[in-house]
Amino acid sequence: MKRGLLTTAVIAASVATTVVQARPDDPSATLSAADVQRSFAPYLPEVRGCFLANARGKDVTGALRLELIVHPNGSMYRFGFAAPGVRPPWLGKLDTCLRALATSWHLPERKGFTTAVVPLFFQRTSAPGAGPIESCWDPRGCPPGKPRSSK
Amino acid sequence: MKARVALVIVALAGCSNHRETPPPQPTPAPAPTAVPPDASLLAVHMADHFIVVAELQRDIAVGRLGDAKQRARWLMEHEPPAREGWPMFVEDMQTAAKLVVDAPDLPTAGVLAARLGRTCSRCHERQAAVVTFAWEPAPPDSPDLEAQMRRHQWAAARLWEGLVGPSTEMWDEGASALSTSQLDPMAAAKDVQRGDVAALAGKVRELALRATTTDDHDDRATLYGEILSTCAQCHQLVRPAR
Repeated sequence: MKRGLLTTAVIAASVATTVVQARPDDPSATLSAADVQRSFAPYLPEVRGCFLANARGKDVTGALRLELIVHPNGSMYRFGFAAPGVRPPWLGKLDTCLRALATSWHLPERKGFTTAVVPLFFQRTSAPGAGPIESCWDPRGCPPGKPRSSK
Repeated sequence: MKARVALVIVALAGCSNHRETPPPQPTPAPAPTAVPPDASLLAVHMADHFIVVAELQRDIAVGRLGDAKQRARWLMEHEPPAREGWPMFVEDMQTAAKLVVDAPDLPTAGVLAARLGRTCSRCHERQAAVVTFAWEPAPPDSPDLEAQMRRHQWAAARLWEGLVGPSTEMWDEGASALSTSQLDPMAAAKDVQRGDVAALAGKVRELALRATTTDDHDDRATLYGEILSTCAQCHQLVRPAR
């Protein structure tokens, strides 16, 4: 797991005074899974680009789990990821690529911090013109290891 | 720290059966099939689940075994919305909940509650669910026992989220905070054997240290169960259940 702070000390220092504590009965206090799914969708193509360019090696499973802590202002307060099977030096390259992207990600503002786990799965296929494709973004189907069902 | 989790599915677009009038050869309507629950219903359902399971393990930590069993019974008996691929995970979850219901004591219940949490994360993994939690920065460490326990609780909450997410980021954060947090047995144990409290506090730190290097989700569940059991034992010593 790679991790790092993406925000400046100034932002971190301002948290204590500007953030309203999230209340459990306030649905707008933090981002819901639906909020994350919807607002993160535009960033998927660039994430895919990073993964396909840098996740090399015979043990790569195609799974990529993004683990974000989203600041109340919508920026990435902390960013981590897990990419099973990706090993150095590719792991470092993937980290550099994703981390650079994460600085520009912006999700909706909320009163409190949100932790979000975003699982992705990228699958290469040998069918002409069919891949690589992104799958498993839709929680209805295509879990890792199982191809997306045709509709 | 109140955590919130939601798992969302996109409801299938409704399919309308448009028929020409008059139909040359009317075909029988298809047999009704299971309709996926709508996204908001599922989100509410998963939020209920998370709250109940999180409260269950919190009950164990503070020594309320009866309350924990009551929540486990709810998990065991209620039926979640029907969804493709769920029955296996629902069965696992209900089996794990039943084990908590039958747990003979708190330490055992702690171990079993962690296994219950792992059934959640297996389902999340398999369903490729986006999972969210509320988060807040760690409370500062201090010589004050109340502040120390707040930090312990914060760390335990991160470990729990790391387990059920699953989230390595949260797990590492919790393990790191718990392994470095102070606990003053002198302050904690006014009327009990301080040595016992010190030993249990040391055990929590040792388990948390192991957690910092444990990568496998199943191993993490085992470790979390031990941590929860140890917390419960310590709390029983210094603050018996009401």
